[in-house]
Amino acid sequence: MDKIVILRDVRKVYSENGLTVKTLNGVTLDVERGDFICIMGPSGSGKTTLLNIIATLDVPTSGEVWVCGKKVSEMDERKLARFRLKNIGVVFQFYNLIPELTALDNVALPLIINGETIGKSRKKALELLSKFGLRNKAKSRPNQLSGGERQRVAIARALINNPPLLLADEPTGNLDYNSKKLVYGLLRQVNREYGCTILMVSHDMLASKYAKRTIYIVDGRLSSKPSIEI
Amino acid sequence: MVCLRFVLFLSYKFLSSWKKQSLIIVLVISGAVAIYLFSYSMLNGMIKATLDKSLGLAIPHVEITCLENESYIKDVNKLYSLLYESREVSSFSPRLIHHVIVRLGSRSIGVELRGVDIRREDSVSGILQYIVSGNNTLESSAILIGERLADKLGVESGDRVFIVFPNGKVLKVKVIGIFDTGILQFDESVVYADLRYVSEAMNETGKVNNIIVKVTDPRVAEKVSSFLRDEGYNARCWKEIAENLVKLLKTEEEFTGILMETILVMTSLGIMNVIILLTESKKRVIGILKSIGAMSSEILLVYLFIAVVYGFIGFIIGGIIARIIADIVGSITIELMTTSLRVSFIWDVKTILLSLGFSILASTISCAFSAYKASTLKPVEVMRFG
Repeated sequence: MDKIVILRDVRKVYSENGLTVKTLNGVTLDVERGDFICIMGPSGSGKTTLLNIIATLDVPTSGEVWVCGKKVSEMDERKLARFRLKNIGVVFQFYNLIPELTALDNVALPLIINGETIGKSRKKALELLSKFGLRNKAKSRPNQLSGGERQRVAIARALINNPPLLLADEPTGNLDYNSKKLVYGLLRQVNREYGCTILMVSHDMLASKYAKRTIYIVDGRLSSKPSIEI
Repeated sequence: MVCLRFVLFLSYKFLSSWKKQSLIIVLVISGAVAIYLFSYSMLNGMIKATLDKSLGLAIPHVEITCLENESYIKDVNKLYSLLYESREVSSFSPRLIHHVIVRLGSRSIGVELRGVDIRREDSVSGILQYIVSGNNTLESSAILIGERLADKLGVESGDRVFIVFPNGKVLKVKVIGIFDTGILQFDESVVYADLRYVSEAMNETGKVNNIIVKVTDPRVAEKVSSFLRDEGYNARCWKEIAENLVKLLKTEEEFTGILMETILVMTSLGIMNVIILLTESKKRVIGILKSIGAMSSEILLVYLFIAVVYGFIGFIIGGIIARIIADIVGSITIELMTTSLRVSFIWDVKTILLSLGFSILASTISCAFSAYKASTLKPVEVMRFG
């Protein structure tokens, strides 16, 4: 199987007010295409930093990052933006929908950025929303949706360009139990039906039940065994 | 490559969502454009009206007067030939001017009596278009006077008054017509009589002491006066005659320029405040856009496009406001120093384009800084928390 994400000795160090904090401490990871991985760890363990680096939203202090066969650490800001657009879908804990746009336009936006016409983008967005049970919410603004609905809209937006990689950062962090199950189920469906590789960061034990495998991160290091603190 | 469709789509969505902020920005720009357009078109109108009215009538394009220590213009026939031959001269009017006293009953008023051939005088100064009562057949023993002088003397056209000449001669003349040029000083101190009549009264037949010249274009007046000076005549062009007026207009123009620059800066600062607040509140949205694949240049363009739209809408609304105010102001007559003015406005293409440029420049300058800052935001720094 070919590898969609390769991390080699990735380190991330933050310096602020003379203090140095090592967030990632030599992370090495291979993710196979079609995998569904849940990365678990306590708060401050470096989960989100790791995800941001794979999402190309952040750069490592050292180490190599390969995503979809490209060495992203060598790309400039413009190329990275377009690379993200075509290859990576990101789902955030706080949904991060654009409040000025309807659910339909939020989902259609990445396709419009990709050069598709507005009509075609909206048509495809509506198909996706229908699949996620949100057809009747297409014209609603984010503030008119529940948390679960917002997260499903965010997942639809992340998938509209058919990216081979979907990254989810605590996607159920703000949801109730039923909504959590719905979102996890949706991610599993996406992984199975679309063959989309999913990397999900969470500290919710329920998440690991939906993933194909779970890896743990403690003090900026990956491990196959959980820490007691999780 | 930048996706313009996305830029336009997002700009439209943002514009239609940011109603309150957009309204404030557009109102600021509209106000500034209205002041700008109103002031500029009024200034242009006033300059043109002042020059149109003054040039030819109160201020001739070129005026030839006696040389120092002389009472008349010498070699006047040679001068006539030169003026006839010049392609730049469209007409001229010889005059014999004396300061006289107009008297009626106990009222005596000192005036400037201009002995003229009224047809020639009219071809240069256009005085006959200002006749408001009586007629313009300026024969012997007849005069044309200004309305303010008529009011002061209490006479109407057809009445008779006495003229006391500098040589002591007193003649009774008929007020054949009354003119109202709107130039107050002119209307109360200038009296026209027939050239031959004045010559005879002063025993100065064939003499003139003043010639006014109309040139084909006011811009060549300087050239014509210079040529006449070279020929030995005491000639001055309108810029030299009305030196103070030219200086005043120039100062007014400079002052308006400073005023405009001040408005530009103040407007830009006002818009900048709103835009900075707007950008700060939209940091998260910018982060989201970048995280889903939008480029910095696209975000910059979204902001700049919005700025241009604000500028354009502000220009349209400001233009309409300026036009309405101008129509109201234009209908009022203002008495200013020695001139009564009805303010006229000139809406020339240059002024309109300047105000369009002004509005777009003000909004773009104010947006540029925030737009650049917004476009360089790192998504990871603004999206961490909800």
